[in-house]
Amino acid sequence: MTNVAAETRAPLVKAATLLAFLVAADIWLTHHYGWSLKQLAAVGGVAALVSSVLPYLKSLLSPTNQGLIAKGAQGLGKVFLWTPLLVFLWVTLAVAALTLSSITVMSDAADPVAAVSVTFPDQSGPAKTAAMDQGKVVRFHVFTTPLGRPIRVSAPGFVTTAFTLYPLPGLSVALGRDVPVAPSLLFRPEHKGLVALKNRGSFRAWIDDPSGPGVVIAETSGVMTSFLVGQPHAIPSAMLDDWRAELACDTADVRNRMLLFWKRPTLLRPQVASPGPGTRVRAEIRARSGELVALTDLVLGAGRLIDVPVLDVTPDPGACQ
Amino acid sequence: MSVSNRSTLVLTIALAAAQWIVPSAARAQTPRIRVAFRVRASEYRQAFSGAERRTVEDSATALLVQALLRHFRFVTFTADSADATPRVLLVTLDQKDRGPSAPLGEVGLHVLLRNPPDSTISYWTPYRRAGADLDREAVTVETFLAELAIKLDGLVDADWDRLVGEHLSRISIADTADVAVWGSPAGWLIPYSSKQICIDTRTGKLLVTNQQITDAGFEDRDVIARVATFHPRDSTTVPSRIFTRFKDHIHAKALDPSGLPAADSLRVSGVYIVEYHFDAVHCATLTPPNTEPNQ
Repeated sequence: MTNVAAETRAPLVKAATLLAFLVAADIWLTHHYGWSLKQLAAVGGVAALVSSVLPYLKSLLSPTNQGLIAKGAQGLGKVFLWTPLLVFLWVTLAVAALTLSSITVMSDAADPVAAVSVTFPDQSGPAKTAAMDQGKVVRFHVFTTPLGRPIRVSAPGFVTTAFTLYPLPGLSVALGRDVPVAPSLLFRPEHKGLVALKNRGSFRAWIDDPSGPGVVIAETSGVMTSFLVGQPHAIPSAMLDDWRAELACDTADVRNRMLLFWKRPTLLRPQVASPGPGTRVRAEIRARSGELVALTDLVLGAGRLIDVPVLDVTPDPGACQ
Repeated sequence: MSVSNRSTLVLTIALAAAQWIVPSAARAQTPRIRVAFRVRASEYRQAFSGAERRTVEDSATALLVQALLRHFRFVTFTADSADATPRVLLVTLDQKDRGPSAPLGEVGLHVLLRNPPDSTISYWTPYRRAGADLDREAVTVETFLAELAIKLDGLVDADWDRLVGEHLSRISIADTADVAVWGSPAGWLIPYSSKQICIDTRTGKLLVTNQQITDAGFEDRDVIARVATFHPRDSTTVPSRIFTRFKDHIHAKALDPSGLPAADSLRVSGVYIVEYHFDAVHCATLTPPNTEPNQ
């Protein structure tokens, strides 16, 4: 009696182990490879269907056929419920689950994102890059370790951000939420700053570092325009309206010229990674004589395009202040 | 080179030098003014490095001296900063409305004449209109000097008249001991010929300040006079010392001779040119000796 009960229980335990493997594997594959729950539902559905139709099937089949089916089932059961196979499947799944992982990148940003890259600070080599269609999700499959692996996620217009990738949960990153937007900075010199730039003056913007000389973001000279550091952006009409209001006290001639210089910024390639929100940025314009003509000092906020007026050191009393 | 050729060359140089020196010697009697140019408008000041600014100011001073010498001969201008003359004509490029509260606007040339013990200052002429600082062309040493030369060449009579009226007319052109008062009604004989100071005798006017000796002492007597030339009919009509000294020189005649006191009661204290137009017909422009045509 005891032997019979043990003989019956062992296949049931193995079957449960196999079923648990299937469920676990399905969950893992769904999470990391995007397989949907359809697979799990299918497995469960088949099991439920077989369980429910089995009593009716028995009454329909002749004892001979029942014997044949039972034999076939026993044969299949022997194969799938073979203990070494079950152990192999579970070990394989465990190894895969502890060393393979995924990074899922999606975009919360309003503007389209061209591409996303993943780099590994712990090893040299090319970055993994994938194009990102509008509203789509990008998945990278990478090796990791049970204790985690550092990675960096970067995308044009966003601040490159470091994460630790753990095997089981993987990493889900939303651009604009987990990876901050790198604001494009529109440095806008005032009247005297523009004149100094025309006369071979120089512009320089840098990230303020209280403990050092700072990190230069961009610099140029002899260009009489505003400067855009970061991703190119169309200037919103609301910003133009603000500028018009700012110049309301100037003559029409001066106002139109200033707007023209501001509306057509010179695109400056950043010399370092784009500064993110919260970074303190300074900029100055020096005349050819070396005299400081205009400067600005601000802590970057959130936003894709930040208007940064570079204020004249000695403002024009005739202008609106 | 043969001896005769060398002699000819020396003679030619000597003649040319003499031509240059003689008018210079005559001009040496006229008041000497040191000219200086300064850049103060921030737009221009900031456009030059320290060395460039010195170059610009020195070169601009030379341009100014050339322009002034082309238009005035009753004073002598020099760019030599080591010149000991106390008279200084300081031309400054600055905002029209100066001071920290002045709005950005027109930039022009201001003139300060230090003529001890007095100083006069005025806005002479616009250099750049308001708003033109946003023009695309950059200010460099070369463009600035070219622009200044064009500006000085383009000055109109009214600009030069303003310079005379507001500044140069405050400089007495003759040592009072060298001026003679003679004739009835009284006239003033000036120790320059009209050609020497290149004054157009049709339009030139002088202000002669005098002290009239009266029974009570002295009384100031200012007279506006036109410019004539002293051409006595013969030496018998005037004292010989006046004839020999002032023949063909300027004879200043009062515009309104009525009420003028006798010549011997007047003591000249200053002679000022209040209206001056360059007599281009009788005066050639200054030309250095080595560019003179062959003599």
